[in-house]
Amino acid sequence: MNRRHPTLLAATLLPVLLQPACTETTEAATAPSCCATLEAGTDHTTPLPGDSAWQLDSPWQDQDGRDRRLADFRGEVTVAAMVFTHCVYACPRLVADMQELAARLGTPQPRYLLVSMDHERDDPATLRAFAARHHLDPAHWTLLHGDAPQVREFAAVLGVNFRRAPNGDYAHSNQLAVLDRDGRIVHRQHGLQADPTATLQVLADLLEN
Amino acid sequence: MDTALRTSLLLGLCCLSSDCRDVGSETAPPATAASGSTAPTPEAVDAAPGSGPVPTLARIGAAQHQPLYRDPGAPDGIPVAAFELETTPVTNARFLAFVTACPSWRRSRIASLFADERYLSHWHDDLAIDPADASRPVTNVSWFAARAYAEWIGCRLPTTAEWEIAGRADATRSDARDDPDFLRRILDWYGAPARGPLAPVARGPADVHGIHDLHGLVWEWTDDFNTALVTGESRGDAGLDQNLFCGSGAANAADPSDYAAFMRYALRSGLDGRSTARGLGFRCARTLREETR
Repeated sequence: MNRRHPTLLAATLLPVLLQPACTETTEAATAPSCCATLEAGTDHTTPLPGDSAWQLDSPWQDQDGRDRRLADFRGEVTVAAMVFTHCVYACPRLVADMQELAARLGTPQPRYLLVSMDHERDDPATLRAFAARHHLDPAHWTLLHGDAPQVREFAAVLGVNFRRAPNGDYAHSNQLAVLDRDGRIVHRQHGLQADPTATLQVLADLLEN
Repeated sequence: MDTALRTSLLLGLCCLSSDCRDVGSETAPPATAASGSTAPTPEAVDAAPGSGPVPTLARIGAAQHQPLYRDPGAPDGIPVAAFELETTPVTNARFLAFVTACPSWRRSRIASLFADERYLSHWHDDLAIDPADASRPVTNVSWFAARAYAEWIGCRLPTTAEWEIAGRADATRSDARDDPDFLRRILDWYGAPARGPLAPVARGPADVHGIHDLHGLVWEWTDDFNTALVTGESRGDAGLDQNLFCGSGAANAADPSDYAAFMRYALRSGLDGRSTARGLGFRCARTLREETR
């Protein structure tokens, strides 16, 4: 089912009836590349594909306070999630799910990208402390801080819904996205402690190429 | 959710997604960008943010927004500062000026990340619209495109809270929600099938703020449309599953009698940023400077 087709808008309101699976893999994962002459991720001078999330060109800061653009991640297979570091329930478990992927993948590893939805409290220093607390290896993990509009935009691309509660915490959907070396979202894993089998398979395939 | 509610939701949304064709659009000569200059080359870059024409805005005073779903222990209302809102939805003519100035948002060039395949599909071409469409609200526009337009004119999209505060006004009152006739008129439109071309903007009388067409013409994007944690991207509508939504167990419906607000909430839940539809447009908002609040 192509849930983006407008005539199916009404149907998307009742997804629980129509899409019981907890993971989904988009066509891009299996469709042949339109640019078959170029090996994905090897030529950074060619324009990004039209469906690449790395086209978002807002400036971010990583946990070390360095200026980063999403296009920096071109060439790497990426697992992305949105979190906020004050979260006491879901976010640590979402990070644990990503660490579980890391443990089961071995070498090579993808890039693990955590984008904070809490633009007010999650400055680079706070993100660095969170990374240390959770033993996130900086060689593979990048945490990003951005302003409110670009965070909202990134969430829209990833398909993550969130809202700020009056107490400053965030309610948000729990989701991991897998992006190929050109930043195309090829797979999503919904929910906490979901069965990672499909996600691991997608990652293994992407990392082979 | 009871069956009647589901049915009316689907009815309302069918208006949005039904394939209405403009009767005259096949034969009328296409209008083109009125600048008179030659078309920009493919290499042309987008105009700078804030360089678009100044919109007509109306001021809406500070108010309390009652969200449909709120957290336990949270106050009844969320304070929303005074802001400015465009007096009409953005028209096809204005959007044509935007894509003329910002080539990357033209139909043939927009990245698929930012709009689905139906984007501006009612236009004749990249820069050609039916003359009759000029004063009609632009639809078949994605959230990303609506946002880019707003930036171009130095504005932003209204938040859902701002839109809902604006949307409760009628011709004489800034908050008409206690009037059953007011809500009935909105719901009648939601339930009516969309047939034929859209009406031009500002055809009817303005509300007490001087704003037209918040109800009865098109559905409108909000900047934070993707805040809904009940349906939409995820499954688990019924259970508000904590594994899917952090904090979701906290959500409580506020005012189930405000059926119209629920319809809008449900609509936004079903959209993603690339979505476009024949009945979905937008208007822009602007934060008031501190001294003018």
